[in-house]
Amino acid sequence: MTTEQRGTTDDRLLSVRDLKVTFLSRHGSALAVKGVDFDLARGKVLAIVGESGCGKSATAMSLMHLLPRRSARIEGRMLLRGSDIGALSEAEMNDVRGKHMAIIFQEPMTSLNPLLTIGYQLGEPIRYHLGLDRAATQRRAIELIDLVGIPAAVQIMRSYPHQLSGGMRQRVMIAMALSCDPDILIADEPTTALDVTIQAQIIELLRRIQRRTGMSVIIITHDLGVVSEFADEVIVMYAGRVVESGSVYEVLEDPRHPYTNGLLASIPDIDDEGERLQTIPGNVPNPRTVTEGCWFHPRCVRKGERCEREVPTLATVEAASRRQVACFHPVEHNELRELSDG
Amino acid sequence: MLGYLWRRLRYLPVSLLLVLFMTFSVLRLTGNPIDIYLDMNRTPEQVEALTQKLHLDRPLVVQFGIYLRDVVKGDFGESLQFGVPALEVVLDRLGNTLQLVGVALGLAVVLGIAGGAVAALRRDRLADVVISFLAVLGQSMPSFWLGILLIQFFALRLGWLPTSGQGGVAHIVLPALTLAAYLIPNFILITRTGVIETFNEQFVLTARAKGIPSVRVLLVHVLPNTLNPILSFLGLQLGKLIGGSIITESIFAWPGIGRLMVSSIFQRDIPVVIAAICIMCIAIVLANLLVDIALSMLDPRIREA
Ligand SMILES: Nc1ncnc2c1ncn2[C@@H]1O[C@H](COP(=O)(O)OP(=O)(O)O)[C@@H](O)[C@H]1O
Ligand SMILES: [Mg+2]
Repeated sequence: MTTEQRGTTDDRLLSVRDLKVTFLSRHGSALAVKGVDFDLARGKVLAIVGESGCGKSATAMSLMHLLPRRSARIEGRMLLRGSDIGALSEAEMNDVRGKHMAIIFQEPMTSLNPLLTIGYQLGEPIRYHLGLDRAATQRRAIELIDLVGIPAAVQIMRSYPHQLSGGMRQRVMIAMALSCDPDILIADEPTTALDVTIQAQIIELLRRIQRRTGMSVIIITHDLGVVSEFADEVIVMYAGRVVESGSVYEVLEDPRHPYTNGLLASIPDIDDEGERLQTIPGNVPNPRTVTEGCWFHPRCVRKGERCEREVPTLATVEAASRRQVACFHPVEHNELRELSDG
Repeated sequence: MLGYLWRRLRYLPVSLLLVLFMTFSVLRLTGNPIDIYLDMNRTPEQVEALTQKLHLDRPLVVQFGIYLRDVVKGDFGESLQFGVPALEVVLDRLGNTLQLVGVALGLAVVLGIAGGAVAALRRDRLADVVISFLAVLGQSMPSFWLGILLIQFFALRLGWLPTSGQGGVAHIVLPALTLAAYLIPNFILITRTGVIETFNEQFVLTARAKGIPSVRVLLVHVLPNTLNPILSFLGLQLGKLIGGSIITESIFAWPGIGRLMVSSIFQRDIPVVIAAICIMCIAIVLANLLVDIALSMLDPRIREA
């Protein structure tokens, strides 16, 4: 790839190469992430999209070394500022987690310890990574609560998770993730579990903070509206692989992979009001099963004979741009989305 | 807080009343108190004095009423063995029993939680297999048997520790261990399950994602969230623990309430027996209250409920 040859002096903060995640269980092993490559530039927002079960969370969790050691095997390289964090021990990784890379999860209701106050939980990473004393930790925590738009910070510090709403808890999670000014924030479907009105607020908050701090963000979502508003780059995952990547503008305006096309066709469009949504028929294959050829072909309306035999690799489609597609029969340039229903 | 205490303690008088009623009935039904309290060489004067003292010439209901009134004043009657108030005899031994139970509880908590945590962290490995096996074995071993084995090995064969009696720290090791054995196996198994389950909780992931040391994740985030079932189990087992203390004190000649009660039964020192039972009752109720207070201190959701 051309990105490989550009060396480490560029603005790439994180480079992931051939990341594989295998879940081991009594029933055998499941290759949930099958060799994923991507780069995250400093100050940019990268979106990872795809239906549920495509390996988005597994990818995010493996970056943070948060997958269970006994049941998940991780291969590949994860270069943070040029050094591989994939080989770090748990103790070494503790200097990275929370400090350089932070994560927020989908389930704010269960993400906080029910027995400890918000103030305590918020203060933990501050004390550990920044080595601040009690008073300074408290000041920093209150500052963070203000930052994420929660009123009555002092009172919130003393309250317990069950006393807060889901939206509030997610704000606390964001505050916690931001506590040590991380270079990278990973947000794994941060709004999926929240009310629609709260969803927009949380995304707006993330966007505002990203603009202000200039940190890089990896946002995992299946809301393409969020992608278009928030992200710079996007990678589309299907069954543990990247099937399409590029700038948000290119990918959303001009999807080349039939899967991306299908995802776009399945969201309500303000332009053609009243029209029935097209959903992609079928389901994401279980990573335990083996599919011959392209993993998407059983659900694909454009499949040809070759798709059933060979796995397409991610390749640059246009010389001028960095966008890549893994498909033998990509959707033609400016072809109408309606084609996806054949 | 006062309302809470009242709600918790309002049944205590009822329980005590029941205990007194039952002991009083058994006492009166098993025979003439004169035969129990006085030996064969009794003089008519003694019989007359006792009849007056115990109001034996009055109806049973009145006798019970008078008895109750005395008990409320802390007067359980005089110990037949020692010739001093029964309650005094019992309270004299209370400290020893509390000491034994306290040390046993401490041992059980430390060994049980540590064992369970190690087993959970080394799940399916050798350490887990050994610890879990011992725990299951311990659950099915009667504690008097364990006590005898401990005496046999550490006291008689190795001669490291005294077989019985009270003295320095060495004296309390074996009885406390024997009593703790009532709780340790269950503490281990409950902790093991709790730690394994809690590690799957999302908030543990959050804690790890903050990059705080693993030991801290375990001590601050995982273990406190496993304490609830341990404390609840302890609350349920308090009665068994008191029963265990009676057996243990007897095996090791530990001068506590349990041993006093057993010897008083043989001596037919009824006032002491009843006083001992009442004190144990109160102890169980208060200990349950302490367990509940501990639970609510641990968990803000319980505190608010
Ligand atoms: N801890 C796990 N053990 C076994 N399989 C898992 C585990 N976590 C995820 N998987 C499987 O890996 C695949 C990808 O899951 P995930 O990364 O959570 O998908 P996504 O986040 O895209 O919805 C799914 O098929 C899921 O069943
Ligand atoms: Mg997910």
